[in-house]
Amino acid sequence: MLDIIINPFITLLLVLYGLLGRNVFLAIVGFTIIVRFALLPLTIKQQRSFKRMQELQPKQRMLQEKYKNDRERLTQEQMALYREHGVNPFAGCLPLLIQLPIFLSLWRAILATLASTPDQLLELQDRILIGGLDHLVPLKNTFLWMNLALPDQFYILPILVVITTYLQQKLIMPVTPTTSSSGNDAADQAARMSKQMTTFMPLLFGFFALTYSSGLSIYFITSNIVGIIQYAMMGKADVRRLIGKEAPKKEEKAVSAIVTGEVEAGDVIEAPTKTPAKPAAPVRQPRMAKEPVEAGSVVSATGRPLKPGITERKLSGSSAAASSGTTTKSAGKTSKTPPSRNRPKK
Amino acid sequence: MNTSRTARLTPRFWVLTILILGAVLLTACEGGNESWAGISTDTNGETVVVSFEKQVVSYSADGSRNWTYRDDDSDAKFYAPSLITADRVYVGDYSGRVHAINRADGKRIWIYEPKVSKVLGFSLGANDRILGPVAQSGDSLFFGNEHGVVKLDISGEQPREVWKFETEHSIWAQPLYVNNPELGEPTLFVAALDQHLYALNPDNGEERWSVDLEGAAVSHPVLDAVNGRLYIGTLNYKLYAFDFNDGAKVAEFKTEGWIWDAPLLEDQTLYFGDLSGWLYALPITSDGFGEVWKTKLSDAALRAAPVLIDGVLVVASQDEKVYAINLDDKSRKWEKGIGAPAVAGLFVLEGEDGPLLVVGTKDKENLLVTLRLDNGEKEWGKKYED
Repeated sequence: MLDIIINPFITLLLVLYGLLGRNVFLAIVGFTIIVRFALLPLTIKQQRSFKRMQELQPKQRMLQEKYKNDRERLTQEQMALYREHGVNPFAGCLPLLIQLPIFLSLWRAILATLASTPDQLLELQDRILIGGLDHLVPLKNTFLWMNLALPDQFYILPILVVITTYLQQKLIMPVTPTTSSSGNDAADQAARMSKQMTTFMPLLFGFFALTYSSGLSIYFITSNIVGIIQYAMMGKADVRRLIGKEAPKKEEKAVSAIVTGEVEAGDVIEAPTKTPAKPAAPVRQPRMAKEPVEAGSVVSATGRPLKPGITERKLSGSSAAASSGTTTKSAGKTSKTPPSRNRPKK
Repeated sequence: MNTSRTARLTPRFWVLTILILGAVLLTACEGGNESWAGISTDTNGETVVVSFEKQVVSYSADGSRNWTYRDDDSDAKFYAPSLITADRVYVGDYSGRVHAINRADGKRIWIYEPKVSKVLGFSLGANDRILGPVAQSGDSLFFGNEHGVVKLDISGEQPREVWKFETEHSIWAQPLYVNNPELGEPTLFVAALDQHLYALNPDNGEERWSVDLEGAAVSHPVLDAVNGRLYIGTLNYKLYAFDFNDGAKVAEFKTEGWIWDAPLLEDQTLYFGDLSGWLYALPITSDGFGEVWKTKLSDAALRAAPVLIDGVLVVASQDEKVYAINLDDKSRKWEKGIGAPAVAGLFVLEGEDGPLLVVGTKDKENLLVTLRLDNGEKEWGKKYED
């Protein structure tokens, strides 16, 4: 079934091999770069979708808390939330689903052209779509100390695979701090999952690099590096994530203010401040609450729960209580929060 | 708890699931056999030896098992066809070792372990696989591996490496040792995946000449002692004729598909198939090749060389069939299905009631199938028994 993708890939790889002086290393690197950049629109779409989902996380958590005893209602509310923000919760997975067969084919194409076993070589003739490339088969499999058809005996490539995969995971995966000491909170689940992925994926790909052809390791390493560069070009790669820190975001601060009741919809929110992050501000109870408000609910300064989408400001960040330092105006009065040097002009 | 179950359905969960699924698929893609069974028969057609995965098995022509050889001290995998001599069986494995086995009882005589260079404690060349059969001349063994060709001195109790000749790509073909004074000095010919045919001095491994084949060669050249030529097929749709002494190209013939196995030379005609399913009979002339006869037998590959016996040309195909063709009028004598792609080779055994054709596959349930030459009926078959 994948042949429809594998065969053009094999042909492309052979063309590159011929053009790049029959250097299999350059051919694999060039091939990986071309495919990764061809998939860039999908990568961008996926990243955007993840970001939007992440932005909705605070609201989601609040809904989960609010309707924790009514699953049906929770589902309805979540779907309404998604609809309101034009988010498809599975949209982030779709590009990945599309990319998966492509990367599988990429893998298979490299294995096929290296033809480390008679079986692989025997199949190759029918896979080459352009005439005149047969004289290039099989690819010369030696480069530096390596036989690219075999695993790297020095373990250098598998180690590089693990490192680059880890770096890529770490740089692009948003830090999702845990919020609950009980450990069963949804955010905790997501955080654990993120952590598992950044641990599991490098090890998994390292295992593949140890087991299979070195050519594949070169593909992994190149792909990871290109991935990091792509994310960096999109402004998504954050070096601070390597040490488990997320860059402070203005949106978080705005959300913090809303959630803590320091600001109401329609109030002016400060432009991003250059002041460093400060310790968490105490959570203020909403004023004039007419009915009991559940912990973590989004409320206005008047104590009314905020409607979804009440502000165009983004609701990113994991915990309202974790953000602080925002200077706001509330109900026409200057709040007692620390003054800001960057008050927007009216 | 509800929140927990909801969290499991987050996009991250799906991402992780998809990645794990992909990883499993990747592993599955790589699965399966690495090669087909390596099959060889002795010159009298009394014994067939099958190398597959972790064992080498010897059968008599009647299908009875003589012995099974395993190297339980290692994870040795055997796919290379063995060399059967009067008293020994030699076979290479996927770890670059050569095993000398007593032909009578299947006991190990010795194992040649390649010298492994170490850099900073790491082994180099440990994965130096042997995929082709070894060749013997007196007290010398020659075999190809991932890096070139090696000569062993087997006159002592233990084999000793004499020389190595390095190539730019693996050697899957059996080296061809020729010692014919009428043609010239003893020479070792080696065809490599690096698209070259090398003529080496068998004493010291020095190169006498080499030719660019413009395509990888998987099988050994065939010697034409009458005309002093070598014939070799390539993966570049060509069969070449070279002069024995200097490698000068005498002629070339364009085919419809890749040529994998060495052609069969009988009565100044070359018989061979290609991976596009074409079968050829190419006459040899004083200045090259004559007019070819060819037929499209199947859409599937004809990997193994045909055999010619009693005026019948027999070909095994990857379409799971074996075809018998009357040579005189090129009519189809019979065709039989064997239940698995016949890629592993085709040989002849001397059965009690006449010649038997031995066909090898890569299917464990039909690893070895024997057919009667006269009518193509199955005589006996063997499956892989771990």
